[in-house]
Order: sequence, then C-alpha cells, then structure tokens
Amino acid sequence: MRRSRHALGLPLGLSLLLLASLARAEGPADPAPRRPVRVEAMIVYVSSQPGGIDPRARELATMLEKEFKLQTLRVLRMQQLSLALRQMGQVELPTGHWVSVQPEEITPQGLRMGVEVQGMLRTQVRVPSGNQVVIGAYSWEDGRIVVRLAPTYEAEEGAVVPPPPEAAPLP
Amino acid sequence: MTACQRYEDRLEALHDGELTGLSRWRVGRHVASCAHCRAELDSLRGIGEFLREEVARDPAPDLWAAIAARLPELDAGLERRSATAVARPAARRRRFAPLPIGLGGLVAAAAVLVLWLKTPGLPAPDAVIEDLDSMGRPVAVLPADEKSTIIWVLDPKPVASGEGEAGAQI
Repeated sequence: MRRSRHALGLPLGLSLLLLASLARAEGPADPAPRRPVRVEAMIVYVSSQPGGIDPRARELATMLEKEFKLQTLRVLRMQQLSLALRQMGQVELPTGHWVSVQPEEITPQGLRMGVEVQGMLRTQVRVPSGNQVVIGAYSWEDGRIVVRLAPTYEAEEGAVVPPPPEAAPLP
Repeated sequence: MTACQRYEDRLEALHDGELTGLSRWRVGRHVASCAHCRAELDSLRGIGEFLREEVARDPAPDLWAAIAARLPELDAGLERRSATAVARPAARRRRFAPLPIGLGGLVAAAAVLVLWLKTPGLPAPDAVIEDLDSMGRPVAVLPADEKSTIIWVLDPKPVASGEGEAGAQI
C-alpha cells in the first residue's frame, strides 16, 4: 500500500513542477535590459608646433588639419565609457578639469547626451551611433586639449535609425 | 512622456538645491524655456518664502491657518506670474557667443557657411547641437564632415608665433 502511494507521488510531483514551469514561462517576462551605450572618450593634445602625429589618432588629425594649422597630435588618454541612459561618466583632463558625459535618450536622430567640460562648456548634443563630437577645450602647454567623444549603441527596437551613408540603398 | 512630465518631479529637487552639475543645468534650462514649469517653480519659491516669513515672524501653532488664509493670495500671484510669462517673449537661448573677430574672420566664417551650404551630407550644427553654453567664452561650431562636428571653445592665450601662416592657429 505504502509503495503504491510513493509510486503515485513521484509523477504527481513532476507534473506539478512541469505545470509550475509552464505557468512561469507564460507569465509576463521581465523587460530585456537595454544594452549600455558605449562612449569612446579620447583626450588628445594638439599644437601648431612641430612634434608629430600619434598614429592612433591619424583620422582625427586629418580632420583637424583641414581647420587648423596642426603639427602635433598626441593621444593622452583613451577611455571606453559603458553607460546606461542617464548615467554619468567622467574623464579627467591633464589640466585637472573633468569632462562629464551623460547619455539621455536614444532618438531616431541619434543619441541625445549632455556633455560638460568643467568650467568651460555645457552642451547637449544629438549624435548618431558611430559619429563623433570633437571639442577644443583648454589651452595646455603650447597647444590645446581636444576631447573626442564617439558613442556607439544599439537602437531601440522599432526605432527608425537612418542608415549610414555607405549602406544607403541605391536609387 | 512630455518634457514637462519628465522635469516636473525634479523641480522640487532644483528648488531645494539638491541638483548639481549637468542635472541642475538641464532642469534650469528647461525651466527657462517653459512657462508652465517656471510657474511651478515660482509657486514652490512663493510657498517657501511665505513659510520662511511666517516662521520668522511668529512661529505660532496655528501656522496652517495662516497658510490657508494666504493661499488665495498666492494663487492670484501665481496666475499673474503665469500670464506675464506667457505675454513675455520667450527668452532667447544663447547658442553661440559672438566671436571677437575682425573682417578676415567674418570672411572666413562666410566661407565656412558657404562651404557648408554647398557641401551635401554635412550635418547642420543645429541638428547635432541642441543647446550650448560656453560660459561666456567665444565658441565656433564647425561641421567637419558628415560624421563629425567640431565645437571649438576659444581659451584666451597669448598668440603663438607663426601667425599669418597657412591654417588657423590652434
């Protein structure tokens, strides 16, 4: 008699477990956590005095050379900030000032983020993933400190993100 | 969620001085451009001032009675302020501080503008920069290419040697 009760108990327990797991699977799922926004912060020193171009920032130098007389570009710091929306990240400049970055919202036009160069600049920019904002900041030594901020992120599901120019469909 | 709804919860924190840095600046900037939130903040300030006055004058136990008696007056003041805020032209946001440049600089700026207008694919500065406060320093915004925008804040420094050579001084 006892043995038959045990024999019934095991399948019953397994069935209950199965039902419980099915009920859990069909219940409201937790919202998938949004992947963090990555902001590459590069702090460089630029000068019109001869000194050479750091190969790690050749593209930045090429871009700045179009606007300024540039003979020196030295990368001082490269930092990958991994931030949730509304989370603030900070990078220190060699002058002792801080650069603060706070992603706020992902919009179809780009990531809206607040940027502050302590004591110098506060701005709110809208930067598509893969694009960059370059800020000419404090004078330092015989040149300037330049801050390059380049965010990359995954667009929100359903959001319409304009494709990069090279990926645009042909007419 | 509207911008106002996003900021409403933070008005009290702004009023209480609990916000700092970017948060304080952002909420303050919204308040400067939003009559509704400005009225809310004025209301908070009005109540705060009133309470301070009342407490300083006479910390009587029937404080609430005094508040209740002055509520209509506060409401009327709030309505007057809201009406004034609506009637007043919206405060112009400072986006770009004037550059201390001469004729050459003006020509260069015009050239940059023409180049930008004639170059397809360059993002308009306003499309990238929603707001900018350079704390009184001159600033230039240059759309460098379709993926890059340069914000160049001028930091006063003695002019380096080599002025007049090709290319702008850093």
